[in-house]
Amino acid sequence: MSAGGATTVDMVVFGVLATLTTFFALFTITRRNPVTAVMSLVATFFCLAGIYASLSAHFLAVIQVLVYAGAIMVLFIFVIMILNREEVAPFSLRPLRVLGVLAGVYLLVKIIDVVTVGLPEAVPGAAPDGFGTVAAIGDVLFRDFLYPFESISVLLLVAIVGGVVVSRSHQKEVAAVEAHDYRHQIEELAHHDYPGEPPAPAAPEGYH
Amino acid sequence: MEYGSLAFQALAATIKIVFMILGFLMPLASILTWMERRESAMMQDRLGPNRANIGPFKLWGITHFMADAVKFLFKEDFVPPKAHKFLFMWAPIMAMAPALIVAAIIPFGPPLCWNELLEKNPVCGQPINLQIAQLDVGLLFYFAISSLAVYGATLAGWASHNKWAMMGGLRATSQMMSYEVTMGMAVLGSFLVYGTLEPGAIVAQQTHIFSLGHYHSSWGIFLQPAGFVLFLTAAIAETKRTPFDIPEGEPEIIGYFVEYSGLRFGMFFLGEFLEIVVSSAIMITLFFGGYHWGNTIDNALLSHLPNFVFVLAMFGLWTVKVFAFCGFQLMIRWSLPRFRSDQLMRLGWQRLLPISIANVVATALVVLWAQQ
Repeated sequence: MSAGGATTVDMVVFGVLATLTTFFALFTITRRNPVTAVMSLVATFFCLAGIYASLSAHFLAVIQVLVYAGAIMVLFIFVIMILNREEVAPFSLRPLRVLGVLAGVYLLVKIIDVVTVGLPEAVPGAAPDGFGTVAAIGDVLFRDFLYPFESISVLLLVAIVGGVVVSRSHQKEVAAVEAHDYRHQIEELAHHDYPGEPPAPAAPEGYH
Repeated sequence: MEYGSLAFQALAATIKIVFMILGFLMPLASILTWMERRESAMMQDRLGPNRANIGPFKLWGITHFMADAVKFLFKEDFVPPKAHKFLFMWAPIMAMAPALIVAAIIPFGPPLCWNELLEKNPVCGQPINLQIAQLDVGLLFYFAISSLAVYGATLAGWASHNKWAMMGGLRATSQMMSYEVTMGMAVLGSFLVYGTLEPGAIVAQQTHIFSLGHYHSSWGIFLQPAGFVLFLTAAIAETKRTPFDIPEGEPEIIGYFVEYSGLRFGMFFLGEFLEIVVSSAIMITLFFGGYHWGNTIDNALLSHLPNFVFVLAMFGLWTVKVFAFCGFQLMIRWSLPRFRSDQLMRLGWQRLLPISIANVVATALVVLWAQQ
């Protein structure tokens, strides 16, 4: 790469990738079939990863594919397949449509603003040696931004524990309530010669 | 053509890609399709496929894979009427392509010395690395691309418009997602020991088979035995073969490719064997010294053979290693009974994952202690 600017090859690569990204992004929001929409989003992420790689952010590119295309979108597909919904028109909620049009107009104005101002004259020079490598990213994450990084890790851990708690099965609580009822019946039998009226099944508490 | 020029690099890369795919991956995967049936037959006291021949050449029936290919090509390519045509067409490609792409980072031989092809003990001023892509992110690339293989199985199941295929697709998704986590954790220990993610650099370090004095240059199996067992288990689970063949499940649901026929089924079939070859090669790279065979053998060959013969010999010896590992994976398939779905999930999340995390922590502590 020549110092201080993008070469023709860089521009061509960027042009192709940016076009594809936009194309797949449009595809994502216009498909009726949810699975096709999700696959278009996967393709969008893939092209974004290509743009990252062409900006010498290799680590970011690989993580983009690994986390977004390879893990999160698989979960999307999984959920869509389980729900197995009918194909619906992508724009169905009317109040949201008005909001969407407003947001679109706002975005368009902003883009026109940026484009008419023009790009800055001074193009930043080529990235320093080792930029975007695993070692460089590790240095930044674990030296300069150790505390923010660790606090995000803790936040994610809390989210995971929360998810486990919410999705945990409540069989043990149900069993405990049933055991309490049985004990109650046995105590009743100890005080009377005949089984009394069984206690009305109270609304189970302690689980939901 | 000058060494190091753009045209030279492009030509070298093209030759390496063509050689890797046509000269190594495809032939080995094809032979494995025959070997699997023959090996299982031997283990079950049957004959297995031994009849195919080209004229008088029978070769124990190895030519069966050609007969298979011809059969796949000429079978009817049936698409179920209610299938999602586009995704049905693309799913087999998405299942097979990742295995071919990740082969780019596997080092398959020592560097070829361009200006000293006939020298013994070359200085190697102009090396050509026998590895298609030397990426700084290294094995992360392997995980990123191979995590995409799950789309092939999932979409095949969904696009077929068949309940059994759908169940197979769902099972494949949950299984591959679960074991990817263990797989990633299992190699972290190796990264810590060798201090790099780049497979070429990892192999270059493993010059001794085992030595206490140079423990950094021992094979990975001696430095990371737990990592190896975990990676092997997860890799077999990723290829969806017995004992982890829940997504296929021949006795119950046939699996995500139940609606596929002809060449499209052939792609799933070959893709599975390609995954075996690639995962074997990655295991060799990480845990069995890549193309190295220990200091003594390497140096003897290096000093007695011209450079290009030496490189060819080392490539041959590397192929022997990979082939042995593939055979081992086939043997596991025919030795072990299959898991139930819940056992599979319990093994993945409650056994393998905690052990792999413990392995990473223990390795990190030992490496830290050794540095001080």
